[in-house]
Amino acid sequence: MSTSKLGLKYLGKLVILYLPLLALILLFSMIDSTSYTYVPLFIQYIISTLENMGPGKANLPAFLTDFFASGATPVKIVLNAAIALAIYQFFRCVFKFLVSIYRSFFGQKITYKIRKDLYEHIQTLSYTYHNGADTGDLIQRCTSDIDLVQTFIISYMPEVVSVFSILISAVYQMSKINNSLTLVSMIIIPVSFISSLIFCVYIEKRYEIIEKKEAGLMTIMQENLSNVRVVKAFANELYELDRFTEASKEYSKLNLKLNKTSSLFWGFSDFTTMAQYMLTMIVAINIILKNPGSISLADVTALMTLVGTYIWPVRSLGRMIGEAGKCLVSAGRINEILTIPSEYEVNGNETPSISGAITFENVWFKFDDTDNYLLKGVNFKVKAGETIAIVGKTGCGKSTIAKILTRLNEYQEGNVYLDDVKLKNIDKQYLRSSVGLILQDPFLYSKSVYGNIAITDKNISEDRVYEVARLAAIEKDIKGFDNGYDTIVGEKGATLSGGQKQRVAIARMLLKEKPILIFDDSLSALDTETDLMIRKALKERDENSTMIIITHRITTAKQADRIIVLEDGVITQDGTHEDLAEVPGLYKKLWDIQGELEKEFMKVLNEGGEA
Amino acid sequence: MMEEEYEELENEKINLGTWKKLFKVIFKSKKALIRMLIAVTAMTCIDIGYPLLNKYALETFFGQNPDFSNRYLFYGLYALIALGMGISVWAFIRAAAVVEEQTTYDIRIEAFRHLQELSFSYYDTTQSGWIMARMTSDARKLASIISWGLVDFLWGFMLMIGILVAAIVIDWRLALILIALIPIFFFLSMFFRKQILKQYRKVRKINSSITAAYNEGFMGANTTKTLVLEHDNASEFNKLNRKHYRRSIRASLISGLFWPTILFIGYVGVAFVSGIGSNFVIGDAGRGIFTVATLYLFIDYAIKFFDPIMQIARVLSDFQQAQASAERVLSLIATPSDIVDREDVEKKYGTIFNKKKENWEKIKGSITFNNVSFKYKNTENYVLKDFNLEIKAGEMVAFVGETGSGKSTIVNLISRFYEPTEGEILIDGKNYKDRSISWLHDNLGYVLQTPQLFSGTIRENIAYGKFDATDEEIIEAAKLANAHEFISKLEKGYDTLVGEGGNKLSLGEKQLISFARAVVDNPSILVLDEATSSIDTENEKVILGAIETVLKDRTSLVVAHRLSTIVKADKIIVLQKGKIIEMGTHKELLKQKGYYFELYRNQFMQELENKMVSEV
Repeated sequence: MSTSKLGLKYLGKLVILYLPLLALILLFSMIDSTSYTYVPLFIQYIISTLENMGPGKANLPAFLTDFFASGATPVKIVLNAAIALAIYQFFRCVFKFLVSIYRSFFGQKITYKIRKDLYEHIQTLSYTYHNGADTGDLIQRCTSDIDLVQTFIISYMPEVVSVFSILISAVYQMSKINNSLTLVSMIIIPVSFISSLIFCVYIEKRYEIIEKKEAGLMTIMQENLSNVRVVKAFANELYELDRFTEASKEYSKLNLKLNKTSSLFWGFSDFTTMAQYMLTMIVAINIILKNPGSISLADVTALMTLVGTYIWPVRSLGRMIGEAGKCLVSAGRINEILTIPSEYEVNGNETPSISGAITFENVWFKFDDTDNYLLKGVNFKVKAGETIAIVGKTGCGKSTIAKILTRLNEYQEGNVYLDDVKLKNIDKQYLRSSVGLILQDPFLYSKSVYGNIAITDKNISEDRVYEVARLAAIEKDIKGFDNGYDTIVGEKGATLSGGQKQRVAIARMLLKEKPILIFDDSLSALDTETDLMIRKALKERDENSTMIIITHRITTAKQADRIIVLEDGVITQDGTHEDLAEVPGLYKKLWDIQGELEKEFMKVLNEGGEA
Repeated sequence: MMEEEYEELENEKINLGTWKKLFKVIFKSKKALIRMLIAVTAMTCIDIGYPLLNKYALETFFGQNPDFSNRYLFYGLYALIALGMGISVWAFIRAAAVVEEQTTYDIRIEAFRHLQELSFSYYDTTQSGWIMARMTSDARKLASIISWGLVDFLWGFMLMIGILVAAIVIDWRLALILIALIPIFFFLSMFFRKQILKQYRKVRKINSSITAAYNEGFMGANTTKTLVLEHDNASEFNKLNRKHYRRSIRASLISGLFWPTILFIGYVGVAFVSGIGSNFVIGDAGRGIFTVATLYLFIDYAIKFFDPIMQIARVLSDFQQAQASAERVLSLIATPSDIVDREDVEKKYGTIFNKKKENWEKIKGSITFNNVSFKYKNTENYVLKDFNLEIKAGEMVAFVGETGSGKSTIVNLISRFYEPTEGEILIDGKNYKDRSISWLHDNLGYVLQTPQLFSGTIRENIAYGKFDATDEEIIEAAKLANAHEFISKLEKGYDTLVGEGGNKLSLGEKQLISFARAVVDNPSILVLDEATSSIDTENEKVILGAIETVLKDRTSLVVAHRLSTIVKADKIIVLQKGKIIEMGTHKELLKQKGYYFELYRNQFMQELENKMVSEV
């Protein structure tokens, strides 16, 4: 479905959802703008009173004109009308104020809802989606796109209603004065509307070109800033300046051209406004010339003022139509996200107790967008409390096993059991709180180190937090930070090394005991010794937990109870280090190379030393 | 983002010095300014004039004793006024656009030019995002406010004066009502703007927290899944969301009050004018002082009157807001550069924008550190202290040590990205400050840890080291850097576009091109600043080969992570905390079984382990 179509659908949904609120705001705009066209009538009444030296004439409600006429002298009548005008405006202003509050309340309600929906929905999108997601684009959808949709509903829709009500009401008031003058005074409506529409379309088009040019300019600047070392080291400052000047000139030229065209439009619109006044005046003069006394001075003033009430609104109609297109696209962009199915649409409902035993039975897995299976019939069993290492080359599918066990990825064929329960029957969130997966590149939240470790249970005892930090061998590092456990980390906080991040992530996962722990290459940034130390400590604490260690480090794998070798989506070897190191195969090959490395190093050393 | 909010809050008072500097830039476009002034005068005259014309029509054609003899003259005059209105508005906006464009252009170029002159200490302590924000949003805000602000101010001011003059001429007593409205409007409007601004700053602040929360939510989405934190995150987000909701509505209370208040007071003024004015038309006080048409004219003026005052108040508060932007942009332009050539040096060797190459001596490439001490600005600790080193022309020297050992500082000093705090650095036996920065940089080849390319073709990127390089020279450089092979395999060869920052190429390919770029001008001194650390093992062989050929016959300085790069160096300098702890060839150092030996062993094992995994 195209973006605008999706947008239309989404706007329709919002309209239905907020129908009463929306109807009210439309009604309010209608009242507000209609009431505006009565203001000139007060003036008309005053002028005609002065003209007639007695009660004036205007299409105002009878109770008002009666009240005005109750004045003893013309001056008193005028005074009555003037005071009434001020009071009328007072009520209009109070009304306007209330409407603006209501508008803001309504607008914020919409913003709140869309923001909430988007945030919550995006969190439920699948692991695969988030791996490829463009955060900047998503944020734009959640901010400026929402703003546009909100503006559309609380501003543009009521404004369009208000333009039409002003037009209808003003034309009605004019027709009460003189029909042919009314027709003449309406000439500006199509002229103004069409010219502003053409102008807006033109601007939109030019703007696209200009924005591209501007982006080019920004690229030069950005590259100049991020490549400043290169610029300086090659003494190319002059070249850069020339390049920037040239692009800048071009951009300025286009921009200036656009603004010059704009000036033409504004000049033209102001000319048409004046021309309309002139035309109304000329026709009025001709009418009175032919038919003396048919139009009063007060009528002419009222006509001129009434024309003034709709010139601006009509002009802005063109702009609004241009903007409405943008809003539609924005609504579409929001809906595009909301219509991506949540990962929880496929879920299980069982919450069995999990001991840690795992069975993979002929499991096949591939990503939806390819035909290449990453796992091609994987079979293995893990006993509760066992430590298993999975080794293999990059891309052999070993990470996939971790993602399948946490249902971040769903396998296509075969079966996985935790104890005797089919994995696909287990509730995803329950599963994930039982199977601790530590990713290779973990994310830390913008909180203190303490807050990050305690993130899954804010009420946990401090001692527990310190204990897991110690276990994950990160305590010493934390104490070395400027503010210790209170150091803020994450996007805006202190920069932690890859190894420190991994250890905080491990500590965080250890906060609560879990029957199954999976390390998905999550010790890769640590040296072998720390790696071993952490896992030994872990084994001592959680001796009943099953541990799966996915690694490319042979020395790490060696320590496991059992080693599974995965090659090209198939398990080729399964056994202890002692078993596998002797049998021909990938594991032996890796292990042998490890030994050769040590030999080779000694050789290099000796050569170096002896020469 | 947050930081900016605070900065904005600091500047409330108008600082005249800032605006003086700005107006100097604006006054450069004198012609357009004069046109603008003429146009705005014409516009005001018309704005004042056509109600007079209407008044004439009302009196002459619709009054008690109509007289139609002059009506064609009247039509003609009206047509002229309509035309004049169109033309003056067009001319006014057009001239303003010219002023805006010229001013933005000048500020942008001036700032960019200055950025080229600034030294490394500036770039190392200032985030490029900050600079970008100054150059884009601030510069734009500034330009639009000074030009369009000027337009609105001029127009508002002229119209206000014009209406006042016309009103006084018609009847000074009625004019008093208008005059009394000026301060009321003005202060109300200033008050409201200030309050509104204050409220919306608070809203914006929450808004940026919300954006940050979104960012975190998306970046950490997968970690959130593994920790089952969706619910906690959502409720935390909604706390912010609710806060924004409440604050926005609160802000709308004050902003919603603004316009109705002004409108109401304006109409109270209109009511006064009508009530009192009618007395002058028919009342006992002054029967016949003026006509009904004159009263209408006055009402017309009164309704028109509050617009310009509001404009002026708006512009003034906009200026107040723009001041922060102005100060930030101007501060960028006014930042002094730490590293500049002396005047006499500039005279002889030229500036970075105007090099006098004819006076440049040929460089051989020997480098001497003479008791060099160095510390970064605003810090206490010396990175280097009384450092001495002699590098012969044509020698390959490698620097090894932990982060913070001073190896990068040494290279930065040699490249004159920084200058010694004390002591001197001699190149070819002469203090390098006695020659120009460009002289040194023109003879320097430089390869960085992460290769940085510019969008454009491969050819252009290699030619970045020498603009007048012939195709043969470019190909030769590429061959020397082992890059020719992969380039010729590309569909468009040397004309392949590399994308923004070179992103369409792999890291290894980018690095090879940056090697070619460094050698195309045959520099006498070549610096490899951790140039191999980001290369994966696959590309390592090719790059090591490139390094070997590229370094031949020139002074080369290598800072290395990967020890395989430096095995062949003439001299390896092992640094610790700014001091040389070991120095010699690879073999000599291994024999010492000291720091270098340990380093080599650890690193060697790790490198091989990684290689094993990717190769098996």
